Amino acid sequence: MICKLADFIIDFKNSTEAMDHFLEGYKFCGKPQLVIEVTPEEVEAARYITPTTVNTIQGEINAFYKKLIDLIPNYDAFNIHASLIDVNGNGVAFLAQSGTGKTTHTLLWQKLLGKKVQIINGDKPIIRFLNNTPYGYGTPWCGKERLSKNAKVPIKHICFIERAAENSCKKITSKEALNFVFSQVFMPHDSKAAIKTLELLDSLLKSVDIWVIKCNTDISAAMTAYNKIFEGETL
Amino acid sequence: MKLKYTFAISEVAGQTVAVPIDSGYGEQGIIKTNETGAYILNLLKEDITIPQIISKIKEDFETESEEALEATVNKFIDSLKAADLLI
Repeated sequence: MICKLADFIIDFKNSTEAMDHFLEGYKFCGKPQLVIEVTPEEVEAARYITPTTVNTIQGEINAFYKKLIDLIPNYDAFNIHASLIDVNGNGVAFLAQSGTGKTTHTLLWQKLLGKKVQIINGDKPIIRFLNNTPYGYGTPWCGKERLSKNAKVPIKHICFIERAAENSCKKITSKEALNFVFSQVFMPHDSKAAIKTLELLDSLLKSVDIWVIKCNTDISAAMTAYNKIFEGETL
Repeated sequence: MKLKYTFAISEVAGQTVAVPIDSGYGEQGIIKTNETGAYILNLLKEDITIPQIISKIKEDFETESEEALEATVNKFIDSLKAADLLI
């Protein structure tokens, strides 16, 4: 099935009907720039990436994802583990260790700001540089809540989420971000693509404001972070 | 000896880092290092001894005393061994 994903026209070659269903929101008619194909052995191996990954379709979804991630750094793109939202044209990415509650925090921003917020991707957005600007893209790989939109937004802010009783939001330097960021970047298995991914990550950290949000699950958590990050800006 | 894992080495936010690429997300941590450390890590992609590492550094870098260089290399190798990154 041919898809347009992160502004790439990609042929997911010999995809099954179930995979096509997974990719449905990204279906496209056009000549593919990239072709990705997975073998039955790769699908089988990808079934067991996580303890809960047990069925063949999940294996195919994971296998295509791994191939995609190895391929796109050659085209100035990579993948992060994040929840990405569009706040009136400003991309805000929330990164956190699994189970910290980045989806919960994302939904609080939506509750606080209503139609000003669109969720682009809840789990694995692609970041691609176009004319030296980092854009975050929706992908079908979007977590169990299936929060996804086939859209892109220039990324302006990266926020590391930590759980805390008291809400706070503090700007940090790109060097301080090194303590948090690597566990949320998917490293390709190909060495050349992995080094390119690190170069793109360096460019990303130079291009955005970086924050640590300590938050509870109350709506005031989103308000504290939003007021600090967009302080002085009219949205 | 050589590295147990494959690392991608690059500069991110002004810091030289080595990130393991063998198993998806870098949850097993990264190595923050400097130019010499990155040089040694690149040498350790292939099987090599400490004397061979020291000899190569002397060829490619202006170094201080032999003793200081040996101490630096040994300390770095010890830290890699402590992190179970060498075979």
